[in-house]
Amino acid sequence: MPNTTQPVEEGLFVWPSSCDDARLIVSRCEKCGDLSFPRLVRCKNPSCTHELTVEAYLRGTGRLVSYTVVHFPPPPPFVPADPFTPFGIGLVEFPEGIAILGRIQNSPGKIRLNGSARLVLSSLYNKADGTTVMGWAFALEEE
Amino acid sequence: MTAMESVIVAGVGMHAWGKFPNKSFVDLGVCAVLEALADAGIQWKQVQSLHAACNVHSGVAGLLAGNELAYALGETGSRITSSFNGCASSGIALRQAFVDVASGACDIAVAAGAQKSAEGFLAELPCLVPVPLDFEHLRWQAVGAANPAYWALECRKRMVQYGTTEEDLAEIKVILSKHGANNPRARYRKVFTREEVLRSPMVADPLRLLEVCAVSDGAAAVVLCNRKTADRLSAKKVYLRAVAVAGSIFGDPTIRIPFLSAPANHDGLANSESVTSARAAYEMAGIDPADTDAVELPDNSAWHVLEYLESLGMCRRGEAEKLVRDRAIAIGGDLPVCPSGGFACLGEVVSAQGLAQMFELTSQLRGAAGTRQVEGAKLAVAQTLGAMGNSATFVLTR
Repeated sequence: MPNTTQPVEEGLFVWPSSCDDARLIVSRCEKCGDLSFPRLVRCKNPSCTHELTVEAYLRGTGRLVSYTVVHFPPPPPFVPADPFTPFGIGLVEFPEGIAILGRIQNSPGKIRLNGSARLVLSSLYNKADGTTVMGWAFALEEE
Repeated sequence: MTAMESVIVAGVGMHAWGKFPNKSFVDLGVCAVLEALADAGIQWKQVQSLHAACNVHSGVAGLLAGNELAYALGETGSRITSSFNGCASSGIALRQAFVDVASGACDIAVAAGAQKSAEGFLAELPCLVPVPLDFEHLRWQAVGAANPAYWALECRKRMVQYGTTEEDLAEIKVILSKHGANNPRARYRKVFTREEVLRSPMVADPLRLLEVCAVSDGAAAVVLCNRKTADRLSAKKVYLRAVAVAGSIFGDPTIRIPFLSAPANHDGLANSESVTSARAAYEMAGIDPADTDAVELPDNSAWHVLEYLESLGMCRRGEAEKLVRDRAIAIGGDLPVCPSGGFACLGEVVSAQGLAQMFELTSQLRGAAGTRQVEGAKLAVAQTLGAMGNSATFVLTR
């Protein structure tokens, strides 16, 4: 990874990292198994006992259970591409028992519901100084 | 809770919703409160508590909305609160006023909400001290998920599960536009055809521009009183039987604003805050939702009408589309939905949503809703929702 890239915020995913094999940082309760993204210090299951969580990583593929295509540029702090092009947002369920919201890397026409979705890192936008800001995203398996 | 005193809606007021560049949010709010007081035949000096919804688009003045209104109306030493629970804020203000009267703490209490809204999508608010890993920030910066994107994600789940069609979503807007056409306080009064709705631009696929509510300026207010006070007033009595507020429940699989994740829990209670506040309100009021004559639900998008008919217990899961296709949700149908025109026509005024619903349903129960009157309405239910899992349900009877 060149040093002109930075994560959108520390603590969301392992960084530096290969873009093709992203690891989201989640917290897991060792007592009840509850997962949180972004991570929490203590377990949020009200039937559990507010144990301190452990850091865990979510990686690999899940299933695209819903998506939308955004046709209008969202307001700041979102930085739209210039010119703006519609983009997909997906909800991906992972076998670990959590669904993650994130941008879809593929073009909107290639989105297929219930398809396989892989966690990746993707550039969100470039800052004025040329630094590329990275976020998590989904790469969908195309037919 | 059990109400110790009957709570009566003595008066309602509502400044028209739209865009009012020459008025402040306080101007709008004062107008609504004065109308509600005049409607009740009560003087401002008689009001013992004022509960306002915060208007988060106007800085500290908006956070202290109750004090701003009380200052402009004349300070009397009465108890003032300002609450924020997203779009459910005015429902919480109403709950405060309801509890004041029901508990016997006050004879007369007022709830009010007023707002001037920034243009465009509801956006991130300025933050003086950043919050680490703040999902309300990250959903914008890292995902670009405006509110309609969240609704669209839930809407598409529904399309897969229950076969909702784009025509169903458009038909909802058509029906609501006919209701709103007869509401002089609504921002949008044009009647749309299904074709016009389906030709409107996509905002967040599958939701189109005409199927999502537009942020607006406006205000609404309600005067509540006990029976002893109401007996001295001339207005037809409308009873507020219940105001119940609930948050969401751990394990709810709904992907709700502003979260970045949700449990992949297919057995969890979806939209749990809505289900919970509705059940609590029905129990408090001792009513069966099947007897409802008119319902104002939070139609932030066309999808919401389907979802909230079900979470409010007005029909079983998966049956809401049939109510739309049968036009049962139109005035004249079995279950008129949003006779005001809903947020689809009124617009979206975050701090006054629930009180606009109160204005409409009180008018309906008085038989004073004019050309949008639901004939013989006796029992009415309203619910408003707020981001992050806030719900407030009201039950009114005549």
